[in-house]
Amino acid sequence: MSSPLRRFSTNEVLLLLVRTITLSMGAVASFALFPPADVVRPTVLLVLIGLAASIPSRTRYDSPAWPIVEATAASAVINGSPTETLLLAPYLIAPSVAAGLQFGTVWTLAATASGALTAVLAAVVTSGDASSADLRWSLLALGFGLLSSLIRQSMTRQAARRDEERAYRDAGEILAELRPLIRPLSGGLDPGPIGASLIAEARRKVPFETAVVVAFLGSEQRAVASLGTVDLQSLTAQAVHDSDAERPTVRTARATDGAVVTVVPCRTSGGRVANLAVRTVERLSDDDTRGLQEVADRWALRLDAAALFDAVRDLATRAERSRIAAEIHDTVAQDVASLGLLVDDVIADASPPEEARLVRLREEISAMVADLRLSLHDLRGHGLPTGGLTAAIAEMARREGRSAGLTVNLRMGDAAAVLPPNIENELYRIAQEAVVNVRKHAQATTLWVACHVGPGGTVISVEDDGVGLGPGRADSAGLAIMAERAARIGAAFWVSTRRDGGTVVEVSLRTAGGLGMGTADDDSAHRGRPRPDQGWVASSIRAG
Amino acid sequence: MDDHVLIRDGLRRAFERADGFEVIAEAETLSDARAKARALSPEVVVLDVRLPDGNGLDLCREIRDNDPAVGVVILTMLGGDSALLDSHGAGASAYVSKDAPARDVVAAARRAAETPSEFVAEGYSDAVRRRRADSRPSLTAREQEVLELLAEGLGIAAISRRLFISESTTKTHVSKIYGKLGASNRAQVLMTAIRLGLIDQG
Repeated sequence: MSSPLRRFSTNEVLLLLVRTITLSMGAVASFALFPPADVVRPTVLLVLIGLAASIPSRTRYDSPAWPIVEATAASAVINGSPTETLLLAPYLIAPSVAAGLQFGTVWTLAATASGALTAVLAAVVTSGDASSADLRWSLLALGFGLLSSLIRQSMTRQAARRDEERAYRDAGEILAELRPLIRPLSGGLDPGPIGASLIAEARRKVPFETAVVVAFLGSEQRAVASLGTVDLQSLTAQAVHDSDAERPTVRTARATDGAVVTVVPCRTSGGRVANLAVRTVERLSDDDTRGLQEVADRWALRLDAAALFDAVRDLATRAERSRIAAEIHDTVAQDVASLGLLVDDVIADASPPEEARLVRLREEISAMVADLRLSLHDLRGHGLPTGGLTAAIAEMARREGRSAGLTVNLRMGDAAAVLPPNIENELYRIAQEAVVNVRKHAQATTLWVACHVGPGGTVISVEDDGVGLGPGRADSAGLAIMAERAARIGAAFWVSTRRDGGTVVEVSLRTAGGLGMGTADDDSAHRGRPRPDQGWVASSIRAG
Repeated sequence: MDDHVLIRDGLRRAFERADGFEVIAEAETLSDARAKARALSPEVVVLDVRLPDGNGLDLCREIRDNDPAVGVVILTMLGGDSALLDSHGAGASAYVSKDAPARDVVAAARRAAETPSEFVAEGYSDAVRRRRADSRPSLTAREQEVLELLAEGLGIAAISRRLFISESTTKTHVSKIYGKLGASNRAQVLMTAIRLGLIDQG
């Protein structure tokens, strides 16, 4: 129930004061100089107008028409009666000040003008002479009104500044509060261990072998913890699929082998924040379902907080990456690009044998700049072009292969599993490095690139039929970088020699359930401090 | 124009070598370039995008609005489809990335002088194809403005004042943005928007 009345604001208190003072000034003077009988009626009318204008309502103050009405009415009362009432004229200041404080210069002019106009009209009606109208108080009202609108302007500016400052102060306070809050949290603020604890506790209520927790973050769904491997892939798909925020209810489905999949929403007052999906042989009893729901809801708040914190952390990381990107863009990248232009200049004057070597150099520089541009793109967090990892790798392999005159064989599989952008980027860069190495160093004729992204994991292999890994091959630094990238995302990385010559580079990221970070195999999941970079560390996942 | 002196030197030498070109001015800042473009009315302008005092595409748009016959070549270090497509949107005649050799820039400038209204860029059709396949939520221009102010940390009241709209209108925009991005609070909105590249950092 909303009342049409609300509490007085500072402005309204001020206006009430202005009305009281101006009215009592006029009234005291009038009653002192004239017979009360002549003055009572207009005074009472003005008091009524003043009261009507002063009662704070929810709707009235949204309209700048009100001061105009007030000015017109007051002016009619004051000027429409015998001359004695002119002593009440100070009240005319009030509507102008009201317009100035609340709606600005234009409306001040309008309110004052309508008061003055009414005075002129009243003069014409009562004495037939427009020039007999007394406009001195209207002029004074105009002055006060304009002054008020100036005050309003400066207050608005200050409020804008305060708003901006407040945003920072709020953020600072929240962060300061977070620090002591996080320390005593048993599961930290990492969605992985929290999800794992949820699964562990749910398992004490209902025995199941396979389970997954999928958290919803914006439009992104991410499996944060899982248990077991049997049919984990379709279980995850079910948990991702069931995302209706309006009706967060338990839903069951039958897996292809007859097992029962139960998807339990983790709810907060804000709705569904995550899903717990479990796989059982038999359909769960109502009691069991209720038990799971209760556990899920109990952990929902923690999951939500963790997911949010994850987002904040991500935001900070991105800001830093963006800064680095700007730095590289403005310095190294431009320097290397200008080096390329310098070589272009030298090429123009070079003799033919030199020219060929310089053109090679120019190509290398171009490739370097192209690489830098790609890095900048990554750093800015835009990720790979849409179409996913496999499409990006296929395009890159075709392009590189064509430029080196290689026969390119592609074998691509994409089971619609979505990898986080940073993982996609790292995998792409590993594949790119491997392909570029083939082009530059392998002296091969054929390039095989295979990429399979599935819920169980991602495997990428790059093979060639070239000279193989000789001692001191120039791309050993490249190999180290690839290995480092792989380690960063917890992927396995091998380099080996093909049976009939050539090299095989393989990178494999196993992600139980296609997704996952925490393990719920035992209760110890939340005991240790979670590693700060625990994003997608496949090594922390045990299969089966 | 480019804020990097070595790049400008390299380009000037390349153009001086090429037939039919005369370098009539160089500029290091956007404002300098704007003044010189107005005073000297060049046939072709080679423009960098990320500049200390603004975005080169803004100048590109201005030049195009003033005179449709000026060729504008965008030469940039930025990668990604959006830089390319934005260049097209700003009315550029060509888009060349900074890894290209100087003769590519000269060739692009030559062609831009002849047919300034035609946009040519390597990888253009791929970029368009990818953009079409893009399933990102599309925000209206107003929603985009509101989103960017949200990202600056402004509150509803401050955004309303900045855009000269009422608070209830701002709230409507914000709730629509929340809906389109599938978010339920400000942090989620910003995260999703950054991930989708709807707001640029830096």
